[in-house]
Amino acid sequence: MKNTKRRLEPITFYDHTGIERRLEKMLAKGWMLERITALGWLYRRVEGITGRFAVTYYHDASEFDPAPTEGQQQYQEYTARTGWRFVCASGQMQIFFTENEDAPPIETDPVTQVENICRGAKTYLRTYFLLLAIGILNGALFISRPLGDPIGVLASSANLTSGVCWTALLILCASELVGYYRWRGEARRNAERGEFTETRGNARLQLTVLIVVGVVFAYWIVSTLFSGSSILIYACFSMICYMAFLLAAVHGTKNFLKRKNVSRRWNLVITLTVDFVLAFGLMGLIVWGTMQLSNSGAFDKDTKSASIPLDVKDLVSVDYDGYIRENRVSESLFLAVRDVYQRPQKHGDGVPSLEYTVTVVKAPFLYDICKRDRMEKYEAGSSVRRPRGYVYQPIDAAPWGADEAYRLVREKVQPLDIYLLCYEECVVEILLDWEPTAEQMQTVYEKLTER
Amino acid sequence: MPREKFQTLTEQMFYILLCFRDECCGIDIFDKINTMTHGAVTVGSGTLYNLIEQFLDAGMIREVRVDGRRRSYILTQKGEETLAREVKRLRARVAHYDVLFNGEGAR
Repeated sequence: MKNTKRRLEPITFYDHTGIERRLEKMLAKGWMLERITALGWLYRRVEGITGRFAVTYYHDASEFDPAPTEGQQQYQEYTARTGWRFVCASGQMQIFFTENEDAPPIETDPVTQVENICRGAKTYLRTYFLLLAIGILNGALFISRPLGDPIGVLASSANLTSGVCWTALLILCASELVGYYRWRGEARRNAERGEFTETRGNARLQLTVLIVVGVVFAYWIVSTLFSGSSILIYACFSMICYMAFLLAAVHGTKNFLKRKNVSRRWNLVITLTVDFVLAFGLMGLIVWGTMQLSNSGAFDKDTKSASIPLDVKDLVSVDYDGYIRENRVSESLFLAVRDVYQRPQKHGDGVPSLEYTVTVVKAPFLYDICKRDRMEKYEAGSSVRRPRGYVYQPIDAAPWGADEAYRLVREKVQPLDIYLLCYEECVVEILLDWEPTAEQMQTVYEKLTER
Repeated sequence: MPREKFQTLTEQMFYILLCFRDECCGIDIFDKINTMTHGAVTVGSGTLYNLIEQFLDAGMIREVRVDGRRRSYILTQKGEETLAREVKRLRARVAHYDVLFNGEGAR
């Protein structure tokens, strides 16, 4: 039977009432809090102990202190005098326990209590405002990017994952801050009347967000592993290792310096320096490694030698083996986009080339957005690769086996052999070097709509 | 609107300040208040610690002796004035009561 248990406790930083109740609930189940670590709250099995917990805030405490400060020790002496035993601390938050039913509460004056919590909350608030700013910045980028490139964002599981994570961070920080300032206003008013105000946490919201982020993160890893793209797998693996190593290094440095009795200030300076250097150094190492691997051809199988669903040779008879094939696939829950280029190695080899994009729409509500995005890029003349002034005009879709078909045209000029084909579940844009025959159109249909 | 700091005193602020009329160690305040009020007023340890810190910051008490972690304090002129102002306020309240219930206003 295990005598210890580690739990991830989603808490609201100022919610002393909620934390006290949760600890008392755990105690009723036979688990006493032992300490708070970076990997969760550690409980120890106990028997026959009943009592109360008190969560207070000591404004001058820090995670970087090698030991409780003199002030903290004095504070603990005061609490011990009234029957409260110090259990553990996390930053400014101090947790006490008493088995003595008659022990007076640690906080007996509502005015002082509110001010004390507000003083203790300053560090948390700074962190939350910083995270909120980062969340807003990234959230705005996440929201604005789909406006310019909806397919690029919605077809990438990495983009969606980071978008969900930043949005989650934004929601969490905003709810914590709004909750805190609402509580503070109410608590100050009540304190004037000599009344205490219970705090309200949002553990449920935190848990929900945590689960959503966990699921999305797992989805990103699984979808990357199954994408078959070695560069994506490499990037995913590198990022996970990067984050894990960074967190471990920062916590390790901080704890090592604490054990070595290094002062709070020096611990903070050294840990932040290590954090900063490692964050940039490791990222540089990853970029350098990626470039080295790319130059050595490690990722070529993703693009150069990849098998493609529709080859020039499926359409025309060509006696040429020097084709360069590029095949880029990005996929998410909503969309899967495959970009294929097949070109001769040397320009002027006199052999036809082929280029197409297949957008498989998994979420039907995105179909019109995808179609419109493809069409509007030409109408607006915003595409760099393609000629300006051309628009898609409807043509007979039957030979393509499509529901709708369009060709890129411009007044008084020969139409281009660029076609937009709308099938039931996908939108295909294909660029040919020649005007296709009915038989070739049928081949395009068969090859590109294969699922 | 929140009160201006220490313009008025809560019951616990009042008694803690009162205890510092004579030099007194912070931790001894618990017993002193208990004795003084016959157990009618209880001060929590967190409340006491934080108030001592705030009184020091406000210059209402000053540290007079440090013996290890035992620190003793005594009321300053400003602390005395604050107490006096609070007593005046309390007396005014009592006076208003007396006017209504024991004096001319009593029915």
